[in-house]
Amino acid sequence: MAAVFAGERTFLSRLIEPVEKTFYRLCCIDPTHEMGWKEYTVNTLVFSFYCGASLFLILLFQAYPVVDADVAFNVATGYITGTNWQATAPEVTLSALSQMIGITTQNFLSAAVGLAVLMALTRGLTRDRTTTIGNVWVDTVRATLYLLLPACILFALFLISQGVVQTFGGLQLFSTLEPDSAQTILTGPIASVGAIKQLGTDGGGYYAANAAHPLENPTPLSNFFQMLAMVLIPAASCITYGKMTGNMKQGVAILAAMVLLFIPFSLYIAAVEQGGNPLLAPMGIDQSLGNMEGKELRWGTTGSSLWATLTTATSGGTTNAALASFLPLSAAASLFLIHIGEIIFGGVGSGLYVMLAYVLLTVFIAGLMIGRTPSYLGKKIGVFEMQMISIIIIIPVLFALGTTALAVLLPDAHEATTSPHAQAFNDILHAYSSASNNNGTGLGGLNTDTPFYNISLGICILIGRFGVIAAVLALAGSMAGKGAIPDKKRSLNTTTPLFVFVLVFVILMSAMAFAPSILIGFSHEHYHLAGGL
Amino acid sequence: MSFINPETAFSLFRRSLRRLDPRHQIRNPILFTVYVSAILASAACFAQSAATVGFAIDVALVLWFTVLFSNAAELYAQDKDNAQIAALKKAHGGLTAKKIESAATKHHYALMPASMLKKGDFVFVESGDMIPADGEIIEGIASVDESSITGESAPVIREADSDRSGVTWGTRVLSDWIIMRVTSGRGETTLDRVLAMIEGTKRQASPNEVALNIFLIASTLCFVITAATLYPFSAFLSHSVIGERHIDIIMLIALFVCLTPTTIGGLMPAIGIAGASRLLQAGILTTSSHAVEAAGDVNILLLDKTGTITYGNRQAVAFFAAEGVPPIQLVKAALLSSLADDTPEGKSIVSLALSRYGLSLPEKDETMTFIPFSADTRMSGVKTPTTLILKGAGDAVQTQIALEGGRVPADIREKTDQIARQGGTPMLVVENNRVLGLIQLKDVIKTGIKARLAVLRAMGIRSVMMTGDNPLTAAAVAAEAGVDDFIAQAVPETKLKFIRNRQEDGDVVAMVGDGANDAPALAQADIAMAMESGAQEAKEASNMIDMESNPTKLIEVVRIGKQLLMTRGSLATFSLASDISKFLSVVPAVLISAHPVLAPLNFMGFSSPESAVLASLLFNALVILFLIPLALHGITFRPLSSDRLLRRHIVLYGIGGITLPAIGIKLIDMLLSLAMGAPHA
Repeated sequence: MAAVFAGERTFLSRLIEPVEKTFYRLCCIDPTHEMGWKEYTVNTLVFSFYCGASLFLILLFQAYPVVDADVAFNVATGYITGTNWQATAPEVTLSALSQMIGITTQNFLSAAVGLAVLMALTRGLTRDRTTTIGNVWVDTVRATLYLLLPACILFALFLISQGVVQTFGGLQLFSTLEPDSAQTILTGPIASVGAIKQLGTDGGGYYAANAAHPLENPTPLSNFFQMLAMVLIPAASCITYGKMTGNMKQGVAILAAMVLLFIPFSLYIAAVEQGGNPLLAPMGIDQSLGNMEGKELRWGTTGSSLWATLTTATSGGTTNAALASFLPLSAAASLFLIHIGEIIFGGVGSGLYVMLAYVLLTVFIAGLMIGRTPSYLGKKIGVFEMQMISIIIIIPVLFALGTTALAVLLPDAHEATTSPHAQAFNDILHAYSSASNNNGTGLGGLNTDTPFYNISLGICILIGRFGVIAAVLALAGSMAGKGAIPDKKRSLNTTTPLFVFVLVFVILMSAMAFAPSILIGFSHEHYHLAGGL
Repeated sequence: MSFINPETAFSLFRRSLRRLDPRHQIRNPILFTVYVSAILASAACFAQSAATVGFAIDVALVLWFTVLFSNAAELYAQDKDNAQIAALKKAHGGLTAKKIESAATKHHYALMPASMLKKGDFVFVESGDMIPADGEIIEGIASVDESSITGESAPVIREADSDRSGVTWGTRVLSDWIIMRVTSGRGETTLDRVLAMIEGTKRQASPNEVALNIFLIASTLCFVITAATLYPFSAFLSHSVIGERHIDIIMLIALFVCLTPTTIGGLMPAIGIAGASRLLQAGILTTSSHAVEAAGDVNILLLDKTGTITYGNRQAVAFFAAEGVPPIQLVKAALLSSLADDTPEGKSIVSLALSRYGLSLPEKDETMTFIPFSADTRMSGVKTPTTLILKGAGDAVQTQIALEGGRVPADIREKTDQIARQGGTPMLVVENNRVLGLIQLKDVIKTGIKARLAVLRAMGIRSVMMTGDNPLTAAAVAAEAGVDDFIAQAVPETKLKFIRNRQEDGDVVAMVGDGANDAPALAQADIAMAMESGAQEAKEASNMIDMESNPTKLIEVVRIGKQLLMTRGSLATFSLASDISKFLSVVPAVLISAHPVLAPLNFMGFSSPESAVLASLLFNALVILFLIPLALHGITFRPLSSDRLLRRHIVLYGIGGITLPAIGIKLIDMLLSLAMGAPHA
C-alpha cells in the first residue's frame, strides 16, 4: 500500500499502469501535480459532489422501481460517504443496474476517497516544510486500481466459490422445501456488491437483511472471511502508516491501541448476548444458546456478536443479524463503539485518520506532562492543529446528539417507530449516531423512510463525513508546512505501551459526551427488560 | 501560605466577588460557562417548588463558590506577582550619581539617585564609581572596566573628544575621572521598559496555553451539547412511563458543571501568572511567555567564556623569575607594587603572594609613593627612597625600560610569548629598570560552574563555550570547566553560523550573552538571555534579561519553563481523569432523579441523587481551592527521562485523578447525609 501511494511500482504495475495512464489522459489529470491542502479539499469535495449528484440522478431516473427525491438524496449521501445508510430495502428500491453502476462504483470511490484523505494526512505528518500533500485524483485512482479493485476481484471470486450469487438473472423462481410451492427471489450481482461492501467498509448489501441473507453470506467460511475483510484494509492501513512514517512501531502502536479496545468490547457483547434474554427464559424458550432472537441460526450468538462488534468498530455497517434484537447492554456497547468515532480499525482510511487526530490530542496532553512543547513525529502541535482536532471531536457530538434531540421533539419522529418507547429512543439515537459517524447500521425498529429522516440523516452523513475530512486535510496541510525536527530521544516516545495506554484512555474519555445519552436510553430498556415491563 | 491569614483571605474574597463582572469573567471561557450556569441555577431557584427549592439554592451557591475560588486563585497569583515586581524595582534603582551644574564645578556635586537623572544632565564620575547612565564624556580620560558588557577583561580607555567618548550605564571607572553628559535617562533603559511592560500590559498567553484552552473549550462545548440534549431525551422517555418526570434543569446544570474541565479551567490563569512570578523571583525578566515555555525544549546552551565560565577578570596564578633573580625577590617586589592596586588583577597578585609564599602583608609607610594604574601608562607601581618598582603589560613596560637602556632578558621574552600563546596574560615586574620576572595572569574557572553544568547535562542540555581565545587555551578552559564543547576564536559570524547549523539539525538553542557583539547570535537563538549589566544591544536582541547577571540562570528558566508545561499538562490530566469519577457519580444520580426505574445504576451507594450531585459539585469546587498551592508552586521538576516522567505523572495525576474524586465525593456524600440527618426528598 505504501508503494502504491508513493507512486512506486508494484507487482501489478505492468498490468494496471496503462489503464491508470489512460485515466489521467482522459480526465486531463497531471499525475505529477502536487496540491496544497485547500486545493486537495476542494477537489475532494467537488469529486464527491459529482459522485453524489450522478448517483442521485441515476436513482431518480431509474425506470423501475421509482425512487423519491428524498430517498435518492439519502441513498446518494450514504453511498458517496461509505455510510450506506439503508432507509429502504435495497432489493426493493434499487435496480440491478443502479446497484452495479451507481452503488458499487460509489462503494469503491468512497473507500478510495477515505484512503486518499488518509494518505494526505500521512504525507502531511511525514513531509518536511512543504505546502503540498499529494494529488487527490491520483490517490483515488491508484487506491481504486491498485488496491480495491484487485482485492475485490479476488474476494468476489472467493464469495462466488462459496455460493454467493453473481448474476443478472433478476427474479428467479425457486422450489421451496414445501411440495408444490414456489418462491421468487430477486438475485443480482451480489458477490461483487458484497466484496466491496466488506473490503471498503461501506456496508450496503444487496439485500436489506444484508449478510444475514443466505444468498449474501452462505457458508461459515464466507462469514469468517467477510468479517476479516472488514478489518483487512483498516488494519493494514496502520502498517502502511508505519511504513510511510519510516518507523513501523508508530503503526504498530496505533494497531495495538485498536486491538486493546476491540477485545474487551467484542468479549463483552458476546458475553451479554450469550447470557440470553431474561424475559424469554421463564416463557419456556430455551436460552442456552444465548439471545437468539433476530439472529441467524447458522451464526449463533458468538458469530453474530463478533460481527456486530466489527461492523460498529469499523465503519462497516454490514450486519449478519438484527441489531435491534440485541440485548440493550450489548447494543449500547456497539453504539459506544460508533460514538468513539469508529477508529477501532475504522472505515477504510477514515478510521485511521480520525485515530491520528486522537493520537495528536494524546501527544499534546502527554507532551505537556513531560514538560516539552508537544510534538509528534518531530512536528510541533500548535494552536491551529488543536482547532482542527476540536472540530473533528465536536462534529459527531453536535450532529448525533443535536439531531436526535430534534427528532424526539418532533411529533413525526414518534410515529416512525414501531418499538416501545425506550427502544424507540435508542433507535433514533443509533440512527443519527450511525449517520454522523458514517457507520450505516441501524437498529431496524425505526422506519427511516420518511422525508424528515431521509433528509436529516443525509445531512448528518454529509457533514459527518466531509466536515471531518476538511478538518483532517487542514491538519495535514498545516503539519506539512512544519519542519520536522529529528527525534533525539528527547521528546515523547509514541511507540511505548504507556503511550498506547494513554491513547486508549483519551479515546474512551472523548466518548464521555455521548455516554449519558446511551446510558439514559439503554439502561431504560435494560431495566424495563429486567423488571419485566 | 498566607491563605491562613484571615485578613488576606477576607480581602481576597472581597476582590473575588468584585471580579464577578461579566466583562471580566468572559476572559476565561471555561469558567464563564460555570458563571452562566450559576446565574441560570440562581434563576431556576425561583421556579422550584417548596420541596426542591432547598436543593436548588445549594447547587446555585456551590456554583457561585466554584467561580469565586477560581477568581481567588488568579488574584492570589497576581498579588504575588505584583509584590515580586515591586521588590525588583526597589532592588535595582539603587545607583547614585554625582550630579554637577556644569563642567567647571566638578567638585561641587550633589548626590542623587541615578533614576532621577535626565537627558542632558552633567555627572562627575571618578575612579571606583559606576557610570550611572548612558552618556558621552565631555572632559577627562579614564580607564573603564566594561567587562560586564563586552566580556573583555582588559579595561578600555574612554576620553573626551575622541571616537571613544561614549560610556555605558553600569560600567565602572577604574582610574582617573571624567565628566559626562547624560544621553539617555535611567528611565529609558531596556530594563525599565521591560518592567513597565510586565506591569502595565496583560500577560499574553503562550501558544501552548492557547492550544490547551481550545481543547478545553471544545470539550466544554461537547458537554453543553450533552447536557442540553439530555433534556428532550428525558422528556421523550418519561412520556410513556407513569411516575417519571423529566430531568430537572438544576440537575442538568449540575451535570454540565461536573463534566466540564473546571479544575484546569479555573486554575489556568493562576498557573500562567505564577510561572511569570517564579521567573521574577529568580530575577529574570521576560517579554515573551512563549520563550519561557520554549526553554523547556532547549538542548544546547551557548555560554560566553569570560564572565560566565571564568571570572570576568584575570587572576594571577604564577610567578616566573628571570634568570639569576631569586624567586622570592620577584614575589616581594610584585607584592609591594600591588599594595595600593585596587584592580582585581592587583588584588589577585597580593592574595597569590600571601597564600603561595607565606608572606605577611607588608605595612605601608609614608616613604612609599604609590603609582596608581593609569590608562596612559598602563602601569602601576611603588616608589620608595631606594627603589622604583613598576609592573604592567609586557609592551608598555618594555617601552618604558627601553627609554633608560634596559631590556628584557631572552628567557623572559620566551616565557612571555608562551603565556600569551596559551591565552594567559603576562605582566612584567621591573625594579630599578631591571626585569625581575613576570606574573602569569589567567582565566579562573568560577567556583560551582562545574556542578551547574552537570545539572544541565542531567537535564539533557549540552553546554557549548564560546571564546575568542585560540583553540589551545579554549580546550584547556573547556576541559577544566567541564563544558561539552567549545567554539574557539569565535567572532559574531561564527556564533551566528553555529546556531543556525544546530537549529537546522533540530536542536533548540539557548544563548547567554552580554556583549554588543553577541546581539546577532542572540537574535538568532531560540532562547536568548542577556545579562542585566550587559550591553543595550544584547538586551534588545534577547527575550530574557537576567537581573542578577548570573549566566547559569538559564537552568532556572529551563526548570520554570518545563514546570509550567508540566503543571498545565498534569492538572489537565487530573481534570479530565477526575471527569470519570464525577461522571460515574453524577450521571447516574441525575438520571435516577427523574427516572426511578434506573435506581440500580446507583452502584456507588449514594444516600440520594441530590446528595450525590451536591457532593460532586462541592468536590469540584473544593478541588480548585486545594490545588491552588500546586498551581502556584508548580510541579517539582526532576531530570528524568521522558518515559519515566510520563509514567510518574500518569500515575500521580491520571490514576490519582480517577481515584481521589471517587473517594472525595463519597466522603462528602456521607457527611452531607449525616448533616442533613435524613436523605433529601
